[in-house]
Amino acid sequence: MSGYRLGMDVGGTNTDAVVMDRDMNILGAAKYPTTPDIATGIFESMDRALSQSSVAPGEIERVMVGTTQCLDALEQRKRLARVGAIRIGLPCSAEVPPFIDWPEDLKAACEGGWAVVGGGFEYDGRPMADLDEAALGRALSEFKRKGVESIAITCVFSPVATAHERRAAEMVKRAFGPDFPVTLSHEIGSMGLIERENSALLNATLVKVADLAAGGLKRALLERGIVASCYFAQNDGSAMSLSCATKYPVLTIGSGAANSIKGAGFLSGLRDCIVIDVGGTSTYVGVLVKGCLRESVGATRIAGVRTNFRIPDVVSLNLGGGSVVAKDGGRARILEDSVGYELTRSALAWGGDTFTLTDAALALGKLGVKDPACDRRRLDGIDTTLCRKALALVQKRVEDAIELVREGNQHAVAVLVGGASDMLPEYLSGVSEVYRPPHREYANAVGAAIARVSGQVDRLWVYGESEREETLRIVVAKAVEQAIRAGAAPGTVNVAEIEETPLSYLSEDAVRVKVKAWGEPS
Amino acid sequence: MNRPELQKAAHILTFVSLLTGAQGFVADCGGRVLASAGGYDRTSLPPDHPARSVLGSDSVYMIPDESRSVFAVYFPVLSAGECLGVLGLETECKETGERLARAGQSIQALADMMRTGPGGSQHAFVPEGPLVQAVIEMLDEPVAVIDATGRLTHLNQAGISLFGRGAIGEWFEDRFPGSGFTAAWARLRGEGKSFVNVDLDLPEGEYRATLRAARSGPRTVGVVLTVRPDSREPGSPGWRFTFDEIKGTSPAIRKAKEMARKVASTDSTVLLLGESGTGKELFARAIHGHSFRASKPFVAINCAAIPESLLESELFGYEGGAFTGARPGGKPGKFEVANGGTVFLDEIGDMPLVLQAKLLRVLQDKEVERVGGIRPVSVDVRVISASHKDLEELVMKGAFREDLYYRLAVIPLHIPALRERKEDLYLLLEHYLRRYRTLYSKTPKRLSSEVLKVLFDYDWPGNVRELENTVEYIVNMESGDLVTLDSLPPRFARLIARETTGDPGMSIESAEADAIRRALEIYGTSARGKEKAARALGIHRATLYRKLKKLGIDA
Amino acid sequence: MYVDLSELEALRLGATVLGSGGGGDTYLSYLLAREAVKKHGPVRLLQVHELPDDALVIPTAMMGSPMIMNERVPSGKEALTSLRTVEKQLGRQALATMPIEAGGLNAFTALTAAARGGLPVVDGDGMGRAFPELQMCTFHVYGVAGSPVAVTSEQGHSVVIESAENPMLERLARATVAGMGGVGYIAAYPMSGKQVKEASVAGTLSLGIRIGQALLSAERKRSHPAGALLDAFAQSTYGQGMVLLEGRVTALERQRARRVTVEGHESYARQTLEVEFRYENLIARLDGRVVSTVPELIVFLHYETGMPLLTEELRPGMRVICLSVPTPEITVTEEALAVFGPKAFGYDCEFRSARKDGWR
Repeated sequence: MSGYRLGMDVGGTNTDAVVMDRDMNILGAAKYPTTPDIATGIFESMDRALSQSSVAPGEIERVMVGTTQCLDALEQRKRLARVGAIRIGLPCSAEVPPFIDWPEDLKAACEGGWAVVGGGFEYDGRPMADLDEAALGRALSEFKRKGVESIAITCVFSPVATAHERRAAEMVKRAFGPDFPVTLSHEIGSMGLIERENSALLNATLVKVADLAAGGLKRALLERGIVASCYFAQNDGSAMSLSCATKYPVLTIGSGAANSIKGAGFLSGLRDCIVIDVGGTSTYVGVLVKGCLRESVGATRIAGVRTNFRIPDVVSLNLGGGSVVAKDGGRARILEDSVGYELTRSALAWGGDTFTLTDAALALGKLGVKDPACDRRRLDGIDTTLCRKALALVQKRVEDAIELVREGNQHAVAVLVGGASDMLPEYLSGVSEVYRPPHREYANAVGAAIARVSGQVDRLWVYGESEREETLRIVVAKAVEQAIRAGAAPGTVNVAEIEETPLSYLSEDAVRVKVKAWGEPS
Repeated sequence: MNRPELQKAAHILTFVSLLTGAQGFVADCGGRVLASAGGYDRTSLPPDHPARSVLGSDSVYMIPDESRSVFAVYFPVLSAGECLGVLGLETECKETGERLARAGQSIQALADMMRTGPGGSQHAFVPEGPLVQAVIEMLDEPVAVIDATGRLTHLNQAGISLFGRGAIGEWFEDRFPGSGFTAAWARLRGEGKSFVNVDLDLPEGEYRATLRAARSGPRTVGVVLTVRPDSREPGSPGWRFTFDEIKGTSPAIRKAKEMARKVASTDSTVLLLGESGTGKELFARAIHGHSFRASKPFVAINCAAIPESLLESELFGYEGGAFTGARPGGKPGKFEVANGGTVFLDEIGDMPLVLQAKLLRVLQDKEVERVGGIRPVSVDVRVISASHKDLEELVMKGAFREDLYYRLAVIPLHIPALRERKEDLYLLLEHYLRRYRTLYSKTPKRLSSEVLKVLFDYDWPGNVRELENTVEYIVNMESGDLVTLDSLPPRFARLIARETTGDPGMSIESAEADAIRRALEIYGTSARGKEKAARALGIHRATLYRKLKKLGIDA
Repeated sequence: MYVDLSELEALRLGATVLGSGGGGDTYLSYLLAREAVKKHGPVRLLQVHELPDDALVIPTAMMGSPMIMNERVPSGKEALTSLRTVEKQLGRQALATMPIEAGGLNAFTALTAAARGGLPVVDGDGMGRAFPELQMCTFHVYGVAGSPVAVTSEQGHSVVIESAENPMLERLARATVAGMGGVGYIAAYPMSGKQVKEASVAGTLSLGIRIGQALLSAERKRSHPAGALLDAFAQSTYGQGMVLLEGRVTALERQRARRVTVEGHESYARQTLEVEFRYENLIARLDGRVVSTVPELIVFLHYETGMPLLTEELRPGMRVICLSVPTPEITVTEEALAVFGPKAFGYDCEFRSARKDGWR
């Protein structure tokens, strides 16, 4: 076994690739603009990294990919599938229908109708009502008439009992065919009907994007003769198999930030640091605490939708190498727009007509770009004062973000990663030192490459003191099984965390148990 | 660190210089990069690099590093005994290396320089100069700058009014012995904190203050002491009154507060109109407290409470020998005392016409002339006046000068009567209930629905002041937890009678008699007790005496 | 005064603050109230003193586990059904409803019932905060009979409970709720206007709205949330509260002893705050000394966002601001403390207020 792995990051601007050996040494790394078809960008960067490393494609054993494609699709309301929502739980919940409290434009871009039907369970798993299959059947024919492309099914207390969701899924498959995408809420979210349903709906609307990304990747790998097992990075920084990722794309939504923070930790060798990842379209400022990602607290809004899965706690700024700089009187302004992957066409240094932050940094000699198409001489005569002002603005916004995340730690080291991070100055307020590790422009891809595979179980249990040990053993076993299903090698799986929360204001001893297990990819 | 300087220095040196942070990441590197050293640009020091042994220590490290055939010297950059990084100099040339070793002291000085000076992350403390004065003047709360020896070097205006100008140049402990300052300072230094909070025990009372250390490297070069504005007792010098003191969330009071807040930042003359007891003086104080004159005096005078004959000298002062009984040296008037600040003229409608003319001149010329004085003294004051009388009507009747009226009423502000904001009654009742039960160490109380009804139906001609007195009375009268009708002052008797029917005449009389008896039990039957009882009952002292006679109460 | 959409939004935060760490997440109950107000129009808020003495008021609330409620989303009509059931029992129509608990999600339960039933809601409640049991309220303390209690489930089942003893009512209602699957919607403590005036904590809904507005405006202006919150309380019957500590959560025990430990930073450095909680925060100890106890509000705000935190949202490493706010006089009388003071929660300590003295 050679143990080589390929880490990739398909970002909004660039597609990065790194080749690493068994001992996590970086053998080759490359970058290429992300292409609309995804595959070309993957090809180009992968080929370059491979040839640099002199590892043969056939020797690659694992491919680990991180992507922001899903998040971008949601933010831009593009390439979303039309989703039909099934909620099982009448007579409960009629007053707050599916898609409630969603941003109107997102709802318009993906809602394909909804139905609330009878069924559901009690918190101890007893059925509350029988599944109303007749009503479900009527709803499905209505969905068919409307042409929905994906269906999400959410049942009351499905994290405790899954039967009604599974039965409904069977009916969907029978009506729409076996390959029709169905999202079951219990496979994605935890307790909290509205939040779990929202997660399922978001997942269902992302299946097209996920297929596109996975398809592009598979095609590229196949064509290069790579027969490795394939993983996608998810929100907590762990990885899941490609087939899992196409089923649960919503779980990749926070992976961009997770990968850069983990990658920065790996490259710097630090377990505690502030990470600043300046990419092409956005900048993340996050924290690594004792080698772990700090996760968000409580409900999180994703693209304006309330969900309850945890994502990395980062401050993201609409700011990157491709951000457009405008002159506003004597001042510089950084526009919300980014030229994204069109940087190499639109930016001034590439002969385009858009003044970007990359141009400003190049003009001041802060950035070195290896692309031969980029010519610094095109920037001669540019207003360097404006450039300086633009970069000062970037510094200010990054320092403000550091202030938000730094937890009062005066002696934190800031690790700068990302392709455009060199435009930040040597010294930033709020941190004691600034460190730019080698290979920093590939932190995302590195973060993906080093990911382990995880499984998680989040369930309600009613138990007395004597049954606690037994219950925990069952839940742990389930989490390990989940990890193995997600692609972990059996035997390498360890329990990472166990969280028990007693249910409040209830006479019985009900406890919510969360277990997470990690393992090496198989 | 003083980055630009170092960068320049590093680049002109003929040897390699490097500067790292506390964890060994290279922040800067300059000079001729040695092939053998491999260059340090933006990397971490290798784990076995000799400079690492200096990190976290305070000793200089010198070595002919034979493995890399360089001569090197590494200096810790220290601040407050903490190693912030390493300054290193390396050369391939043996002679240069020896020179470096000899120059150790001056290089350490260079390392020392890096952590201070302008532009660095640690600002040098400059204990003198007009700059410090200018900075502390920006602050509204009292600020004192104290040097390393414990001597007061600077005070801002608010600080002068608290500590006194004479304190400047004196040792704090000598001036205010036993204030707790020295102990706090010892803590500040001993525990290495950047600031500590302390209860300063000053002659005028106790103040919450913060001591912040000014450090230059490991040395504490002084402290800055700030007194928290919310810590002072009302009425003490420098106490800054805010609109938060005016309780109420009703639209009427919110509007008044909002208007007053806007007016406060201007320097216009304000006329407060409202019934007596509505809290006009609170508004005047809050406007002063929110103005740029906040740190200067606020002087209030009630034109109705001072005999006409004395009002003029009270306002404008007098020269020595101006009239019989006058102080030989003369006395400054309220306007002079308030110079720089605000003069509050309450019950301006009661000011005699003669004085109105003189006041008008003060407003126009910004000068006052003492009684019997020859030379006018220029004053800079803001005038806030108040009246519960209809001034326009007085103007029409000729009892108030029209020109003065327009001078004073540049911004008229209506302070709502309590009956215009009954929504606030709950809040005010609760506020005063808690205040007086704490003051008199009584148990917490709640109001019966009958009492609530009476209080809500009542017209409150005496406004918040009357309400406060009523609550004080109730707290003293009611021994149980539930306040009943029996505990209300007798003037509510008519309302109560209407509530309970029966023989109204009888019940009023007997209720009144009961209430008066109990009030006298609490406050005593001395003249002072009776005065207090009258105030608690919400009636005039003379009325009380009359009623005592009428009801045949023996006191 | 009317409660419309913007007031509901503010109340979400204010009710969480009043919940003192408990009372459940407000999102879902807020959504239900919002949908009801959208459909039926704003709800009139009646001041306590505006009530005629002989008016009938029937308070409403959700009882049970908020987590189960978040899963078994109600239809929104349950509490109103309970109210109508109690009306039927009494043979009289209610003039208004009111919350039993203004802290947490139950601030909205009464508003939803009011909007759907076309009733006004009384601006006040029976706790002035959140408490775990039905008899832990000023209604019970000052002699209001809880009976008859009606409990309704999402499926539309209703149960009426009668008992002369309020603690017994709590036990029976709790058992009924368990039988209904962990959540029920109740109407209880039917009372006259006179009783409302003498036995309720007045003004708590409008206070919740004002607190929320203060927090939202502090967030917009990026000013200190604790200051905004304390100012809003200072202008209320609650009075001036104080910041106990700013710092980081260093330890969190949720099993037997439920306790959170916060180490102070900056000007609070070297101070340690321990807060004991059950569902709500109950006892605050600063360097081992009890400084504030139930029924005072002990509230954690998230340091970065300024938003109030439920005890279940606390995490080790989190930066927080902890405040203590006194509660109105009606909640700290001897009778009241006997029912919901520290001893009623099994703590062997006297009631203590963080306030330095009575009023400032």
